[in-house]
Amino acid sequence: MVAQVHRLESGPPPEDAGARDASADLNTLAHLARDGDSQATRSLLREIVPAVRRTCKGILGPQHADLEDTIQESLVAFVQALPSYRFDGDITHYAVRIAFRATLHTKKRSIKWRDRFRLTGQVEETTDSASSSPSEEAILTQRRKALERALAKLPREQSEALTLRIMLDFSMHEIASICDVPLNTVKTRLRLGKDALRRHIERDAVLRAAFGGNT
Amino acid sequence: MDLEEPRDDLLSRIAHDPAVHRVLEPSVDDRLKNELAVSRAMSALSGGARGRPLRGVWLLAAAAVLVAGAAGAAYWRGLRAPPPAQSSDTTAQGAAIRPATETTTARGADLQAPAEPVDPAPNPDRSKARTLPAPEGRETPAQVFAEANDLRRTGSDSQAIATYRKVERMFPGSPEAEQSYATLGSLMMEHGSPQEALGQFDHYIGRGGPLLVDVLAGKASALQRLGRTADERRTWQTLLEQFPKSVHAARAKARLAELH
Repeated sequence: MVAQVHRLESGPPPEDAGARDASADLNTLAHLARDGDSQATRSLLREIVPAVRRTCKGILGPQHADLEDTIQESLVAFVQALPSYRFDGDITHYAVRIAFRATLHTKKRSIKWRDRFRLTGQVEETTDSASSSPSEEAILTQRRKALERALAKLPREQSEALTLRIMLDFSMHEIASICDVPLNTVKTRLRLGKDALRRHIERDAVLRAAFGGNT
Repeated sequence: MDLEEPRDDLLSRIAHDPAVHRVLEPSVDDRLKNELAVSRAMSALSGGARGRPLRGVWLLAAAAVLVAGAAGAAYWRGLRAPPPAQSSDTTAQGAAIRPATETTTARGADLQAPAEPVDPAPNPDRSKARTLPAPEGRETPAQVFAEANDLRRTGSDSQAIATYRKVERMFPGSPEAEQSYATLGSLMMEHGSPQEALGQFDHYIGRGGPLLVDVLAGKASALQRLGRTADERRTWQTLLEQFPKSVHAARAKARLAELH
C-alpha cells in the first residue's frame, strides 16, 4: 500500500524534464513571471521549490510546524521580489537567498512564541530517519540544537556563511552567489566563523564530544 | 564539493554528521508537498481567498491572535482560578492584548531588518498562534491533510481515511482536498473498495492535477476489479493518449493487449 500511495504522491515526472537548457529556461520563465504570466510563474516555482524546500528544511528541520508555511511564504516572496532581480546570476540562488532570510525569520518567531507560551513540544524537531532508535534520534537532535545555538552566537554574516556551508551543504561559489558577495568575502567569513565556532565547540560538552579535539 | 578549497576537517565532520546531514535527506512526500506549496503560493499571489495580503485579512489575523492569546493566558494561569466573572474576562483579554501587540511590533521590526528584498507575504492561513491547540472549526486544510498523511504513514488506515474525508468535507476545492481524492482513492483500493475508490478517482480526474496519470492508472485498476471491461479499456487508452511516456504506459499497453 505504502509504495503505491507514495508513487501516487510523487506524481508524474515533468513532461519536458531534461530536454532543455535549465538555466536559459529559468531566466525565460523568470522574465515571463515578472511580467505577470501565471503559467510561467507556476512553472518557475515548480523548478525552484526543491531548492527552497531544502533550505527551509535544513534550517527548521523536517518536522517544524511552520515548515510548509515558510516554504509557501518564500515562494510568494520570491515572485514578489522578481522585479528586483537583475538576471546576472543563478535565479535558484536568488530564491534560496530569499528562502534563507524568510526561514531565519520563521525560526526567530517560533522561538518567541515557544518562549511566550512554553509549548516547546510544538516546535521540537525530529529527523526523518526510520532506522534510528528513539534514543539515537534524541542524541542527534540534541547535538543539532547545540550546533544551532553555537552558530547563533556568531556574527550574522559568519553564521549565515557557516549555515549555508555546513547545514545546507552549499559550495563557496554558491554561497557567494546566494549572499551576493565576492568569493573572497565568503572565504573570510568562513574562516573567521570557523575559528569562533571551534571555540564554542570546546566550551559545549555536547559539541565537544562530537566534534572536539583535532579541530 | 568545492574545487577552490577543500572543506577542512572540522566543517567536513559537522556537515557529514548525521545530526546535520540526515535533515537534508529528501522525504518521499516532498514532491507532493512541493506541488501543494506551489499551488498555495499561486493562490496567494493571485489574491485568492487563501493568502491574499490584504489589510483586512491582517486585522482578522490580529483578532485571531487576540482570541488565541486570551485562551492561552487563561489556560496557562491554570485551573486554580475561580470561574471568570464578567470583570475578570476584561482583565484576561487585557493581559492577552499585550503579548499580541508585542508580537506585531516585533514582526514589523523583523521584516525591516533584512537588506534583501524579502518581505515574506502575509498568509491568512498561517495562524500566528500556531503553537496553541486550535479548535476544530479553525483547523486549516493543510493541518488536517498533514494529520491524515501522518495517520496513513503510521498505519492507522481507518483513521487516515476518516481524516482524508474530513479534508474533502470541510475544505472542498482546496488543493489539499484535491490531493485527498487521489490518496484516499488509493487507500480505498488497498482496502478492497474499488467502487468507492472509483468515486474518489473520478473526483480528482474531474479537476485534474499533477497526479492525473497515477489516478488514471488507479481508476483503470478499480474498473478492472469491478469487471467493467469497456470502461477500463477506455481509461487505459486515455492514459496512453495523454501520457504516452509515463511509468504506467507499459502496463496500459499490456492490459489493452489482454483486453483485445
